[in-house]
Amino acid sequence: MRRRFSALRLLLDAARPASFEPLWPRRPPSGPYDVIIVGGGGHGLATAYYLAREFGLRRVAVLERTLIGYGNVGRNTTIVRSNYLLPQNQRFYEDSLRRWGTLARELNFNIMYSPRGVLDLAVADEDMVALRRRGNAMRLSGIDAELLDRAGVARFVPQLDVAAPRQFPIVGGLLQRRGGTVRHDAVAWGYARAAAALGVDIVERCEVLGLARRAGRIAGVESDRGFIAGERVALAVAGRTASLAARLGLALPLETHLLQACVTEPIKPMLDTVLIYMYPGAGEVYVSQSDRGGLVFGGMLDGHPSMTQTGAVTRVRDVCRALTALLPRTSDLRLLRHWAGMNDMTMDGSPIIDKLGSEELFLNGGWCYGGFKAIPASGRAFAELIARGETPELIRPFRLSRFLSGHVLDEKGAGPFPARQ
Amino acid sequence: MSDGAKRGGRRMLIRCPFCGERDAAEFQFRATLPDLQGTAAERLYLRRSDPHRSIEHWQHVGGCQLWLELTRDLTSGAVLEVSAELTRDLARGAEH
Repeated sequence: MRRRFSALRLLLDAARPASFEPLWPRRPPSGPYDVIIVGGGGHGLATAYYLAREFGLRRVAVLERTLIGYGNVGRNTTIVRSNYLLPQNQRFYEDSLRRWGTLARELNFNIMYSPRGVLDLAVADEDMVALRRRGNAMRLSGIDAELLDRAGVARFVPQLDVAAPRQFPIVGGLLQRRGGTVRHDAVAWGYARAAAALGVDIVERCEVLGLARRAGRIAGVESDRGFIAGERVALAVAGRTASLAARLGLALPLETHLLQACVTEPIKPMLDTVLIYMYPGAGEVYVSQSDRGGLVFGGMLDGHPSMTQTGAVTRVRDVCRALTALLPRTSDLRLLRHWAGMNDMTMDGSPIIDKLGSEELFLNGGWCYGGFKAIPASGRAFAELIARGETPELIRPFRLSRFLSGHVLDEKGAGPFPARQ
Repeated sequence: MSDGAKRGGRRMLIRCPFCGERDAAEFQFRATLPDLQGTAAERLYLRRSDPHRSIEHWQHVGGCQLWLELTRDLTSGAVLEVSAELTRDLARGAEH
């Protein structure tokens, strides 16, 4: 049985360290299942949780090729926000942001949601025009947004010397106060623990090799641990979507690109918000400080397709250059780690959540570099699609058919390219 | 030194037929070979490439400006073939 976590529980367990238990039981796969979810990342685990919790499907398995928390759910910069321009994206990410606010209580697991604000900085008047447009669009949809002038930025982030002479001076910014960060590993662990407590089988080190069909219908999956029977198969493999699609013979509108993240050595508190800064010539940097004290930051994609999880050092140099331009005192810091995650970049920059054809096969992918913040809304809506067979209103804009019908959801207005920046 | 650096995974080299072996940072990735079958919309959006043999156009922007056709193994990062002959028109998805 699952034990409830509380301050008292923590105190008692701390007194008897041997009393700590695994968060979820290790079970071998044992079909037949109502739903087999391929991929034990944030989206797969959340989907399993909502399937069991809200739709009463208890015979659910999550199959993870490696270990829970090893993929992109543990490789991102943990930022959550809903500061989008297009109404379809606003509705979806706002649903997600609201769920982040109550998730710790719901899962009885401290996911450390920190609404510390997300501030997009402008370095030119044109940036302010774009930020004002986005901010107004957000407010029309009932989402909080504040346009700050230079003095406003200085008040909100006193650590930032806006008056310092810079090649690209900070002229203002767009602030979403409810945006912030969430402890990414805790999201994976919290959902896994809650799903397992509802009877979901979480199977680690189980690689799906292909679909199993009997009499022309989906009958389950073939895995490196043999055939696993299931009525419905749901794919939620994020950065592995393209390689899994190739294995299953599917053509999808996406490519796999690398995004890197970096963390510095831990330092005393210096930054209590999330800053996003576009530095002409070196690209973008987004930075926050973790509770352990390291500055966690990332930038743009590596610029070409790759599935190696090994990024180019030139991109690390670019993102460090942008960070030190923004916060010059960081130039003294040492980089503790940097790593790359695989991103399933779609042709319009928006995700794909859909049922594939007439079979009981479902796809949740194409999250580009924005999948982490979407986890609660994506898991909830995907679970409804799988359980009811109908696409909920919230994710209708994310159907695969949009590409062929011309209803692409191109937040950046960048045209039909993956990873155009 | 991290594992990745020991494996030599960080430094990617491309052998330009004109300039010789150069760091990949000199080259700009342009496009991946799209799905060659189907309608115009499918050719524009869909990808059906083999992750072990991804066919791409790159340009040597930091050198001779030549457009190149690269065949790469995305899983290892290895550049398998480099050719100055663009055998496929990626925009149209057709073979020349």
